[in-house]
Amino acid sequence: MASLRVLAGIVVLVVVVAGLLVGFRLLQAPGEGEEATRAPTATATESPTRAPVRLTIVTRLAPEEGEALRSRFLASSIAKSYGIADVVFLKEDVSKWPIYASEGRADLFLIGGYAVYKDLCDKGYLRPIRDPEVISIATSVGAQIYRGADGSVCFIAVSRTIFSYTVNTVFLSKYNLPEPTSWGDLLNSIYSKPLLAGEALVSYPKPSKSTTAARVMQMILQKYGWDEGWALLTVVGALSYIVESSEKARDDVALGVSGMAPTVLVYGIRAEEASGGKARFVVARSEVLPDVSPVAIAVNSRNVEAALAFIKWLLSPEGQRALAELFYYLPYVKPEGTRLEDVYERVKGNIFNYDPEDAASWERAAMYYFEAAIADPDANTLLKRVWAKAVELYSRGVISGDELRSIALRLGSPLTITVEGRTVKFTKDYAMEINKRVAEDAGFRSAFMSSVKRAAIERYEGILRLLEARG
Amino acid sequence: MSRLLLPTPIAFTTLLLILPVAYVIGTLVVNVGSGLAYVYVKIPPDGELYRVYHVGGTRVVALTGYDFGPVANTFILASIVSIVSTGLALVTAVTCLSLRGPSRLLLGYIAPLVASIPAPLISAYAVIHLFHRDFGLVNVVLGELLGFKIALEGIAGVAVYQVLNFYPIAHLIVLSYMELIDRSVVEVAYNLGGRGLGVVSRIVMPLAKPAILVSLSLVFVLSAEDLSGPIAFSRYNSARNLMSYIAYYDFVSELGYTVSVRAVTYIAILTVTAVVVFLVAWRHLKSYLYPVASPTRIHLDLGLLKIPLLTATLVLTSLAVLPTLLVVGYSLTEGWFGSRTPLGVTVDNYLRVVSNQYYARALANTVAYTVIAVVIAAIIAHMAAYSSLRSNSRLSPLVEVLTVIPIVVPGIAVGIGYFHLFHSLFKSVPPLDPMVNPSLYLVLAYASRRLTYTSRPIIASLQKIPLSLEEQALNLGARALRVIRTIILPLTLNPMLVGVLLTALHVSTEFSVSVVLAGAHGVSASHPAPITPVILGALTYNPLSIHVMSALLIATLVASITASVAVMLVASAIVSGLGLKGVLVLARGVRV
Repeated sequence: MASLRVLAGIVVLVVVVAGLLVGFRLLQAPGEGEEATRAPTATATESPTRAPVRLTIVTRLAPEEGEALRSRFLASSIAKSYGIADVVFLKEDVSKWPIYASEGRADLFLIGGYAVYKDLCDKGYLRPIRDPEVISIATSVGAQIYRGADGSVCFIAVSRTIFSYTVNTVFLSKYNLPEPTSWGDLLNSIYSKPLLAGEALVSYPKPSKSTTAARVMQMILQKYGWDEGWALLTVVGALSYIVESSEKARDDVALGVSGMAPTVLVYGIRAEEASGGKARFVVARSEVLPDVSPVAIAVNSRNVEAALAFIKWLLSPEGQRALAELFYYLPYVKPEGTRLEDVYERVKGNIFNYDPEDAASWERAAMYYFEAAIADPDANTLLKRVWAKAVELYSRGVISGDELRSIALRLGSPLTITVEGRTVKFTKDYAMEINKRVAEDAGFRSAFMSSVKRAAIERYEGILRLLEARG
Repeated sequence: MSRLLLPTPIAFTTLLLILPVAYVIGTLVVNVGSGLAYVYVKIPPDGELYRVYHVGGTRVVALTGYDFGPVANTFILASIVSIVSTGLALVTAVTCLSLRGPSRLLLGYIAPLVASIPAPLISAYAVIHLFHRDFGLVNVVLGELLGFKIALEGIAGVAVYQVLNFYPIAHLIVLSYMELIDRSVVEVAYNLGGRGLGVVSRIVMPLAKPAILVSLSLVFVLSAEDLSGPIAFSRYNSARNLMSYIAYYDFVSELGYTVSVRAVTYIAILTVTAVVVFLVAWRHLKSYLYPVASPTRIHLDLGLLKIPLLTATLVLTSLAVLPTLLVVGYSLTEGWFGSRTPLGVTVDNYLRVVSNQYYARALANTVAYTVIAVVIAAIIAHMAAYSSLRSNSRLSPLVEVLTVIPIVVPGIAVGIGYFHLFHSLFKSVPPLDPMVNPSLYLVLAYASRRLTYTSRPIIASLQKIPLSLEEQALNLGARALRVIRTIILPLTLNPMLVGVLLTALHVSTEFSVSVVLAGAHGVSASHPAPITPVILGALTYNPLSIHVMSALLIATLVASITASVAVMLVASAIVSGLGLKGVLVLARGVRV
């Protein structure tokens, strides 16, 4: 009996260990950069010299988007002729992309901001694209080609997306508000009505959590100028629920929790669908911000030829159509017969001439400044009180429209802060000076944001006292 | 082998829980000065308790709450939530003790268990759906009946949400303890002329003091570390001004996992607070006997108060269960996002869960991780129980402490700590690198974080097992492991299964660790992600996917719990040598 129990125990142990090993194998993520096992049979169209390949693509696409793109690509003739047996998409935080590149765990990077790719390119994490066929196709469709310091092609934009905003018509009609035609319209006091009723007109994501919010912030600063841009951003902050993601902003405007949210085109369309038409994507007047959707090859990719094939497919008519139909990305080739054809036309005259190089030189500093002076809970609560008071005084005729505008400028003009013993105004030059350090040095970033917040609260409290003295 | 009984649980908790968290908090040492800048209190506070608005002809009472800053907000909120939850739990527990039969089981145990089922992320949508000032279902009814609406906004909204969320846990703690009060004590009180609330206040409440203190301390810690409530109300500044929320979102950024002095400061404060609360309540936590449902122990006669108390209990229980019922409702309908009524009723959501490879894979992954984590936790729990209660070593009290500590460690700290520590150690050893093999670390994190749910019932049960049974076995030549296998395991089977059920419930809905470690792995039939990152990704992609995601959550919960309980029964049958029939009899409970 005892020996039977021992035997049973040994069997249990073997089963458990085997189960763990099998489970590990089954559950193991596809190894980044590893070669796929050979397919059991080769199709007639495969070149006899090409071994079946599995591409690993690190991306910002959602898993469902990756799956949709994967299906289209694997069904294409390019995938078959290059022997590409599978494609794995990994949605990863951009801070991990350098690890994937340097350790040979990825073949390609797809989608994500221009600044991310420029950073990867500058630091040598991208493999130059030298294939003449790829460069020729890109040039012929008008795709933007980005070169590194040595002149070699670092990454290529395979399509564009556009940033604008989405509104909820039911929310707007609740307060009898006209649909804003641009962000600048929000300086009009009528858009403060929800604030006076304890709600917020806008759901605005924190720029460090949302590419959309970061781009819109950059566009406003470039279009309206540094000082006036910050004044507008400050008023927008006063009118906003500060949320943690683009998706939350999209859902707020789809539900009617707020009346407006900065959205990328695809999210605007999703909000329209989810709201049953109550939400509407608006092409802002002269404020549509295009962003490129880049693709690049990782520096230590083990499947370079297959990676180039994927890029060729993205630039082909088939690939361009897939990007338009699946993700509502604006391709370089006009998407006739698709939902985006109308958007493609409306966007034409309203594109803002965004300068990515200029924005990249100060964007991190601006982002953390925004989050300390405007988005921080303590600062934002006070800001709302100040702006509500100002609008209330204006509506009662105690202050004029010019005074209200002047208050907006005072609220938003760049703060004078003291960081590490140095007192300085947050000018564009200063932002450029600290841009790199604020991104890489956690201690400095913390000190910077603390001093900005302190200065912002001091200013808002001062202005509030003055307004309260007026009535 | 017996010599490993004591060091194994110590090593397990130290290496897999304390070390990763210490690694994260260690970065604070360099920046202590700047960390202190984030510890402040706003006097006077911002905001107000409530405000009345008139919008479109409707009166809206917006409950918002005061904002004292993140540190004070967290402690004030936790104190209020723990006191209110425990108070409400006392009301409902006493009411349940006046009931008999199925109604006692339903109101006393089933409904609160259903209400305490976590529904990460989806619950935030359910909260908007229920409480939004315009289209919230509760306000639609209130508006029709009373002509005004109540808007839960700001930190007041978080408080109400947390009370509804944690009161069922407080209720279960208090009720199950009260069930163990000696029936004869209550009967003597009635025989001597005691009536109604007099018996409750003079007899039942004093005897239930350990449970009250356990409830207060546990709910305090849960509230302080809660993320779901702040996320649900995060569009309001005061709700964002909580330490757990700030710490989590400071780490997770569009630009990656950034190191934030503020986040580490708040995690350190939360961890220290949880440890202090834990130490203060340790005497009662130690002696608290884990729930053993026994609906026939005592019966209270509440007299005329029974009707109003029962009404209050029904209202409270219904409100607590509503969010969970709404999640179930989402899983069986379509087109209910942001609308008063769904477009239709359907089972297609469940069919999509099994037919979509990606979702089915997530379900299978979660079940596998849960079962493995539960088995590991059960083994460690038995080792810890035996070595803390039966060993004469000076380390025995340490073992018992380490079985309770997991409940006070913030999940976000564990997730981030695992990623940074183990990737930097094992980046050149792929099977041990969390970037390549998150599955291994998910299982270990789950087992270590939820050890308390598995271990406490076993320890409580072991305390009641007479030592003489084991001494006889030892005298006859059995070693410690055999004693555990053949005596302790069978006699603690029922409470162990309760622990397994709770562990499986919380492991399969674990959020922060899962998202940090497995949030990246995307589309393929062999991805390693459990359901919570998949739910996060799907809702990010398309809010209409809430229906399928609700079905995925419920299907996974049912499968995980069933599989875990089944595996533990089979494993117990084999290990104890009693066979399946024997363990099924024992699973019903043994009075020793």
